[in-house]
Amino acid sequence: MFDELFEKCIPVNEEKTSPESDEKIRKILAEKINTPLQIKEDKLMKHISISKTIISAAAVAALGALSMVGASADNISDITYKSADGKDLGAVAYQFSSDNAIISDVGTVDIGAGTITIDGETQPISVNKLVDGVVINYVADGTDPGNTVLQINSDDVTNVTTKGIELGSMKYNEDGLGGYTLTNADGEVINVTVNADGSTDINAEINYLYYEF
Amino acid sequence: MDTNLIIALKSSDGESALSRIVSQFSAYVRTVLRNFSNGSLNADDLDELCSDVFFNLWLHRADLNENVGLKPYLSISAKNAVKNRLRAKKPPTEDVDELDFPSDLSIEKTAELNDMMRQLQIAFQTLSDSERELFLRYFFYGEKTADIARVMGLNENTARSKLSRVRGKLKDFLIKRGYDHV
Repeated sequence: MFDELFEKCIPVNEEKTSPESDEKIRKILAEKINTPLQIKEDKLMKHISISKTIISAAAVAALGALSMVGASADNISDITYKSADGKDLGAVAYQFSSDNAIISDVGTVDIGAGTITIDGETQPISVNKLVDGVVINYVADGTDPGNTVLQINSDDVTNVTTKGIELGSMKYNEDGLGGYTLTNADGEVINVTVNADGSTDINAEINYLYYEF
Repeated sequence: MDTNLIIALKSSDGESALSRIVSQFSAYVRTVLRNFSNGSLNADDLDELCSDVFFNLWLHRADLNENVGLKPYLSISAKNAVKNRLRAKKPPTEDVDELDFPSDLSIEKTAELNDMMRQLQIAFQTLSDSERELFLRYFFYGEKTADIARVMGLNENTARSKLSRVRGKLKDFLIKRGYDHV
């Protein structure tokens, strides 16, 4: 709600953006955090370039295998999301580590009554889903890639419960069905993305998950 | 949505995200700083305080709530930066302190701030669109009631009285939820 409200209300006499001033601010900030601040445009461009290579769902399906064999040298692949009725929901470029964990992604996929947001090197995915009037947020903890917090909120944004899930990692499943699995310290497994068998997890609208090489 | 930026800010590539945030929000932060300082800061002061605000965001990035968005954090941090700078001087904005609830709300107290934002989001649902805009402009942007009245097409006295009523509503709402130091 805040986002929408801020978007609607433009400040009176808002200052103009000043690249010179921004550079000065960046310089001060860089000294304070002791790290140069640069936008990695090359990385973003690479993702944009790769997204142009998306092929049809039928062709992807024809590829069959969901293993990472044949991945590009930098392990970047597109994942195409399909709705249960076959509608193309969009695609996002991912970078995988050598053990197939997602390590770098930028993008948002609309899943109807929610979104999957992918951004950041160590924060691979967050899921916002509306189920029976309850907003469920999976938010990976950026300060600890192995930790994910499951937030369950009612539709009036009142927090009902928050559950910390200690994870070894957030892995892409290679069981031939796709999807992501979160495992907590008690061995409890939660599927973030529904597999192709149409199971009724929180992402029930995402029944197919493909990627190409 | 700021969600992606907040998530990226928390990631190992946070410096790049911070740079993007500077590009996207520096004009906004400068506006808020100018408003709360009542135009008393020069360009160098504004740049310095701007960097303080973004540095504060950086320091507390781990505790930022993705669902709140960046502007509330930046506004509150900017307001406090101005207060600290002008502490020994006259309060920069008309009765601005009265609209702080709690008065020591700051980005440094992130847990309390996050809870306050959550409560405000709920409370906002009880307000009309014009009441929300009025409050947002006054509390987060630091705009003067005369400017708010002009942009919203209200008489200034009407804007003031509406603002007072909104504040009363929110204060009652928050007191019922344990904020007894409003």
